Amino acid sequence: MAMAPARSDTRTFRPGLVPGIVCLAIAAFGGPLAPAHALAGGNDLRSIASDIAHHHALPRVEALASATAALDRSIATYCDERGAGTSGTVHEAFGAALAAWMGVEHLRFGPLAEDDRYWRIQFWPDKHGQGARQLRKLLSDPSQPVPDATAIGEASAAIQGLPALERLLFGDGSAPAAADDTDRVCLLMTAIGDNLAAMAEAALNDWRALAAELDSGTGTRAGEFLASAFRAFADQLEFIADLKLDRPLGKSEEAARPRQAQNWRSSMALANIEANLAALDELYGGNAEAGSHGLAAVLDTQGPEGDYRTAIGEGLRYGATFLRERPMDMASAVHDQEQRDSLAFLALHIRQMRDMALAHLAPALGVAAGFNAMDGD
Amino acid sequence: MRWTGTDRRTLLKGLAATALLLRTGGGAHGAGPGPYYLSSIATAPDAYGAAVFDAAGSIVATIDLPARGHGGCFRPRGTEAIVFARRPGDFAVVFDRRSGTILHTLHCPDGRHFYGHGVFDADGRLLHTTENDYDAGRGVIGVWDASRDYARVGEFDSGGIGPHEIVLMPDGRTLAVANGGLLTHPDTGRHKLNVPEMRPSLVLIDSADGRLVQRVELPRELHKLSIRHLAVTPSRQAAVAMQYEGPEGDSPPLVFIWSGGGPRLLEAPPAVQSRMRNYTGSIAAGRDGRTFAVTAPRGGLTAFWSADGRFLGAADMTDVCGVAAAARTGAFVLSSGTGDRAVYGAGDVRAGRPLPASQLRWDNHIAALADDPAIPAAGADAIR
Repeated sequence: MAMAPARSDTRTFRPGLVPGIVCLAIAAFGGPLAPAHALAGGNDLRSIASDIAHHHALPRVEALASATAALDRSIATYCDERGAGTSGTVHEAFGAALAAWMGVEHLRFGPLAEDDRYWRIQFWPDKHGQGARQLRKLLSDPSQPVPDATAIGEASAAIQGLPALERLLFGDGSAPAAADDTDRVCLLMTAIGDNLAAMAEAALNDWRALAAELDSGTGTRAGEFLASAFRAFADQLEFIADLKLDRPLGKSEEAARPRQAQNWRSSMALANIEANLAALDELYGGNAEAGSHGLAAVLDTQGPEGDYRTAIGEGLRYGATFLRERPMDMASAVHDQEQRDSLAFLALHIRQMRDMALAHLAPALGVAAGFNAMDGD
Repeated sequence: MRWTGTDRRTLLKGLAATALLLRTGGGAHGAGPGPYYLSSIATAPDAYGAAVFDAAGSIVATIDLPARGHGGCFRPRGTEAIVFARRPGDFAVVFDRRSGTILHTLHCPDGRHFYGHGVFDADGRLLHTTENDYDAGRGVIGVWDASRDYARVGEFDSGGIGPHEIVLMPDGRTLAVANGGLLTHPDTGRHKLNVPEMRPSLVLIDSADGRLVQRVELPRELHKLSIRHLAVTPSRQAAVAMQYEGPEGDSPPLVFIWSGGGPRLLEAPPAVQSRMRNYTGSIAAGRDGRTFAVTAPRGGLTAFWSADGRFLGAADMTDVCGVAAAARTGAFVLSSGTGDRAVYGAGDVRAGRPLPASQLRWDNHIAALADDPAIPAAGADAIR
């Protein structure tokens, strides 16, 4: 696929003393939209859309399909051998499936939005505790049959996906819930695992079809796809800052709520964010090995636009590196002032990346990202 | 962001003292004859307020707000205007629409936040506001007595989750409420918590006792069409503008009209439908109730329909969202986040006339006051 010349980034993004803060609060006040056809480097919307479908979405949804299939098999093995104390393997398989999901969690449009798959795979945050309530109901009455995969697929989204499975596998973090009534729990975990793998497989097939459609589709179709991809990108940055960081942190140490952290049972909250940022970096900047340039292909590599192009990519990688260099566990970090400051800073940094993308990437993509278009009610 | 009681109150007190008055016309009470328009605004990044402008587009008064505002309305038989915090905000500010002097600030009771819309009863005594009883996940209509310094005097069930726009029916007694169906909680910001199970509705509620008079729902397969904004005509017809929460590959109708029977979905030509991107921002009925205008900010267009459901045309404006009836029959005032405003009018709905450019970013909605009771109606046709 013909893409822009390789990046010639000479400007190094230097977080400096106030790392990552590039004060661009002007996001919502950027100038009028640039015409969608004024693209840099000869890239057209069609090639960028195809690039993202083939080199970003498809490999990642493939990874999700294979990780959920592996998890499904691991649940079967675990349940066959239950009592033998082999939960480590199934926990590992869960972690791998979760990591694969975090690589596509931002793709809240297209195939993962079909049939409520997104919500069924991950009903989170579950503010009103629907998952807990319904699982309890299912497991507490031995006279009721445990639903099979088909029945689970038609049940409430709150008990179909990874959060329900995590609850069953990890319990409250001390004792596995599976100790309660292993037969019923295993039947339920098997049904959820089957259903998860089936949903991922269906999403993969749909993404294949979508990628093919984009290859032969119109520029208008590509523009719509890229608008969705851009919104997904911006929404995910907000989602990470608001729900994955600020919410468990609370306003103060006293108000910290570690159990509002995502996947606190499996202690994956911060690993999730790292995986999210890596995925967003790929959506934005492409995958060099695959010769892909991502959404940033619409931005010029030179001049001020080139600086912003570099800064957004560097900023996303900076966020992931920031976490990698500061190994923390969310459960204890929310009670440690220094770590709280680090995580609050990360949330701020992530919002800056979003503002910068709204101000510079959206207009280049021809996406209406105005005050009302991006943030209505 | 949520404001704590203390810093918010402190700030509002300060704001009352610094309320900004921008008179651009002559006359002791603003710039000219009605109609007047009210809109929330952004004046700079993270600096918000509300503005009243007149038929010529001149700004009569502005106030600052401690956070982003949303909808608002004028109090009948008086000179007050009220603007509501955008969800999940919990304040509303009452000010003099001629001077910008802040008169009252309202705060939701504990455990409630505003959804950004409200409406007075016909004589301007009781104010009804859409609110979220968020721990219960229940929509609420709050009742406030404007004649007693906006004392909170009661509340009743909104008949669904996520009540958004609320308007008064022509009988002066029945409230029409758009229950968007989306569950949110301030702890999780604006994140939608129940998309797979959402069940929006348009309901009529008797304001005298809070009794649910009628519930209108679309067929089950359209349950992801969030019923958000509505306009009502003198002949009791409601027009409803929706936002679709389902896959973007779907392209459901985004507007329905309702006159007492079943809802009737309105079609737009495919090119317009696709540009709307399954999202509408605001809706208004023309003064004579014979046309509707629906804004689609993501598509940068406004679509017009006749009251009998005929598609009339569409007009382009980048980041358009606010819309209200203009003085002239069938004309509408439109506003944009870029600062633009224009009047699109009767006859050829696609032909617009710009109002003076502004540095203000016009937020989602415009409320109209047809005629200033303090000024004779003659000449109330400045917007033509």
